[in-house]
Amino acid sequence: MTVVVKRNLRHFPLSTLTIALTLALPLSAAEAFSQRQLGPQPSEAVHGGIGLIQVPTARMAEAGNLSMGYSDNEEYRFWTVSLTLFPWMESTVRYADIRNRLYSPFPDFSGDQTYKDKGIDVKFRLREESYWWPEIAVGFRDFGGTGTFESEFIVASKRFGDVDVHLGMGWGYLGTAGNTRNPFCDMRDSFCQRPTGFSGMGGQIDYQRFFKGPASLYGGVEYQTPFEPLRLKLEYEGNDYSRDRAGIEMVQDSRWNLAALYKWGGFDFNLNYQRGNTFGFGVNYAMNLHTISQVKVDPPPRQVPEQHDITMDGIDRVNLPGALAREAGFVLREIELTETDITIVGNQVAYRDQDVAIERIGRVLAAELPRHITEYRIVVLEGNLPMVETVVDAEDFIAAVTYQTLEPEVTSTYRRIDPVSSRIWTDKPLRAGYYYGAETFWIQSFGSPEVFFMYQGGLLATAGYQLGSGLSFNGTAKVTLLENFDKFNFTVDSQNTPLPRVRTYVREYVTRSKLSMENLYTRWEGNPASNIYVQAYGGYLESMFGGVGTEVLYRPVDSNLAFGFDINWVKQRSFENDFDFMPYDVVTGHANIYWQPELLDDTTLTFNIGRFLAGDHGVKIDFAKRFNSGIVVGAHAAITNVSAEDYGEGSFTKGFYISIPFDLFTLRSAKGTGMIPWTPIARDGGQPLKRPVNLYDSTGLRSRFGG
Amino acid sequence: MKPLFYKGWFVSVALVIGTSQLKADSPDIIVQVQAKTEQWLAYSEPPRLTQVLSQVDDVSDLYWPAATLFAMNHADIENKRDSVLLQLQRLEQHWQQQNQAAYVVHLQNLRQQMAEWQLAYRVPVAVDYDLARIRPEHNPKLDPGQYRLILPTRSEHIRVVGQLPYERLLAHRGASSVRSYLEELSLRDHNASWVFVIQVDGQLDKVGVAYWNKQRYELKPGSQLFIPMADAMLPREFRSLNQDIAELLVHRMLP
Repeated sequence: MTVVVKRNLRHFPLSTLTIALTLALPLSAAEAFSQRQLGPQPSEAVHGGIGLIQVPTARMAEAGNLSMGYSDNEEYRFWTVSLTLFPWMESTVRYADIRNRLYSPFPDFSGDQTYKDKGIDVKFRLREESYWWPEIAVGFRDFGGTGTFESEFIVASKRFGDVDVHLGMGWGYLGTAGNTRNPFCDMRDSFCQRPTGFSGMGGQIDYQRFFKGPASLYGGVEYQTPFEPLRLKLEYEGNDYSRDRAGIEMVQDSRWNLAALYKWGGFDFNLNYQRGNTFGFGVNYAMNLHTISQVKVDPPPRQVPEQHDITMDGIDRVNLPGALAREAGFVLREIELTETDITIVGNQVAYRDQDVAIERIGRVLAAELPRHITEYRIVVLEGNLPMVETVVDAEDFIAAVTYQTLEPEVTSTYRRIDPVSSRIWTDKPLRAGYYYGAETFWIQSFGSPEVFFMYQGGLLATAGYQLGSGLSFNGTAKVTLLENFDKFNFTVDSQNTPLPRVRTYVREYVTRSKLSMENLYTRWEGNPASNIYVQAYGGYLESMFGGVGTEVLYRPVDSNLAFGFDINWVKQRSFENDFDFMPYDVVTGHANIYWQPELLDDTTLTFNIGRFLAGDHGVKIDFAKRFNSGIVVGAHAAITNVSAEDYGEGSFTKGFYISIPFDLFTLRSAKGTGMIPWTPIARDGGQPLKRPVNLYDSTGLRSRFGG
Repeated sequence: MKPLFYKGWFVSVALVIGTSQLKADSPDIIVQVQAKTEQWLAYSEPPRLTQVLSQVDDVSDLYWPAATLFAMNHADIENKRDSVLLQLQRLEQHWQQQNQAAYVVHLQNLRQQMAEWQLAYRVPVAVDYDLARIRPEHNPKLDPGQYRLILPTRSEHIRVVGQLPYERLLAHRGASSVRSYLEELSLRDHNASWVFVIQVDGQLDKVGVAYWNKQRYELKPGSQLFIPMADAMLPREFRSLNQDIAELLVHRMLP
């Protein structure tokens, strides 16, 4: 069972949500016509990932390319998502529907649903093409899991004008025909036989099988016809379908497959003829996560006059806060003005890009304030806590935004520091009062026995009261609006597990009631010293656990390293009603390290080392790559001292997620992101507590590209 | 629009420069305009681009993509040329020791060509009178200094530099790709994969031209095509030379 919750990370007023729901499709950047690559452009194979028809090639799509595909070739249907994470790395996730096999032999369990097989592929470019050398790549298909299509390959691609030629060697599924000797078998005997079965409880990387057993040469050509949208493919494959697990025998009359592709906008349609006896078809849709963008109808940034003679008495004090909110998305909390500088403290609610936000604020100040004020200090809060202070040199800033120099550079007229100006406010009581908001949630799971796609969606309505001291009371009600969870035919799996069932009662929790109490807790947060953030909380913390806990985070401004720890005592909540607890309790906590390595662009690695909910010890590693559009794609895995056998299906907890800024769907700039996680199988080992607030997320503004 | 005084300015500025005696009240900004006629403009307060352009004698029929502002008092460009020339000299010595006469001749040609280039810092600003009058961001103020504003008419040619005994001009053709110009040159055993294009508006691109990576790429009239040295000619430490030379060409002043 996969629980996938779509949550906004921030509380949203309903009006913002309405705007967010007035969806406008993101647009991709137009290509320049006067410059383009000739010859066949990379396209997807039926299994997903750049390739010919059945076989992969060494070609890579552009970095940031995300391609979603569906293809149907009689015995198999494939749903695929491929992402070029880096120019040298492609990853693919695939569900195969094997229509001649049943999900399980038990109708009570899975009805007449056909067999679904998920797989993950990865491909690395080893060498770029040059005058004499082909492009070379190595890849692993359907590694881990049940391995229905498990293969390894090394492949070379060389372009000759309008023809792209590919030659590769495949092992496993791609090499079943064994049309050549396995070169590794000549070196070591252990490579001559491919071990069968899978290790642990599936879901592990079976590297002991890599490059073993029969190998085949494969190859093919792609041809770009003079009619630009139309491309043709011809391939010779190395699989003879003798070991396919299709439920029926797959007859191969020919090793040659052909296909024709037709491109229409972001779509690529294909028709193919495989094995000398089968027609297939497919469609792919591609977009680029780096360049995807949305037309905006934001108010224009304020035009700053080169000269004006506003005096201290002439400042429009009544309208300044409104102008900052309207034109710069800055909700003013405090302001202090002297003859030479101004300090403003507030929250940024519209502009995700912090440089854009600062320029907009600066423009309003430059237009509204006397010119003898030479320094603007802008302190941005998250909730009540100061996050970052931007010190703007007003003279340089005005010169840059009025283009008084040939090469104006606005970003070099300010610097970001740990908030010092806001310390003057800590003596004053912080703002107190009620707040409320609503978030949408979306739970989905693929591959359940009852129905392939199961979903539940609705609203999380949040309300709270903030005392001036950093203390707040919060509660969230979950309202289910649409779902097909009534199709569940069991709520707790029948696997024997020695672990406490900390997450596998999930079906009980999500089906109990259409209205339930998601959380109800009190929380205190503080910023006791520079760079240090602290929180403590107690109550019903998440849908499955309640208790008390605390977290400390050390995070310097714009540093590529942050660390901290959290410690919690929690008790499992009852799934029978909103307020009771079950007997199980545990002390759980982690040392947390957040690192943005310089070698990998816009990448954050997170390590949580400690004790998980089931009492198991280990580490959870999270890898997140941020694209230029603000979209973040991540993967995580938790490795603990629970053995694969004790863990059960999947062997260990792992998952993927994509976080999409709302900004990409709205016509007005907006903050906030929607998170769509995908966890193939979630069981009880390696499961962390979902704290109501995670300090690294809530202090995102302390990174230039965060927040 | 046409002010009456600048013939007088021309004389006075020419005098100032001629005697190299800049006085306290002398202009901070001097712009030598090279349009249909040559003009000198001088300012004691930084002018906006539109102000300068409004004082140009005749802006009709100019080819604005080729309009370029050069800052004459940036030493960086000449320093870069010197360092590239020095590297070429060292490379020449290297091949002299290896008795590769063809390479040596080619390098000598290249150095000779390079020494003749007129270089100055190309200010990365699109000079366009209409754009400057509509959009403030295209109408910056000039920083104090000396400038040359080149406002050519539409060129009929493409200029080819690099792997040739001397620079060549080819007739510009519309809707033609880079490759078609190379075919016209009929280069002997040219199997390079890339050439550098320096578009007349200053955009620098590396363009694939070989059988395996050919691109469709059109040139604006007046653009330069740099045919790089073959990889075989460049030992590891000289690998960045082609890129360096192409970057220098961006800052080349062409009439």
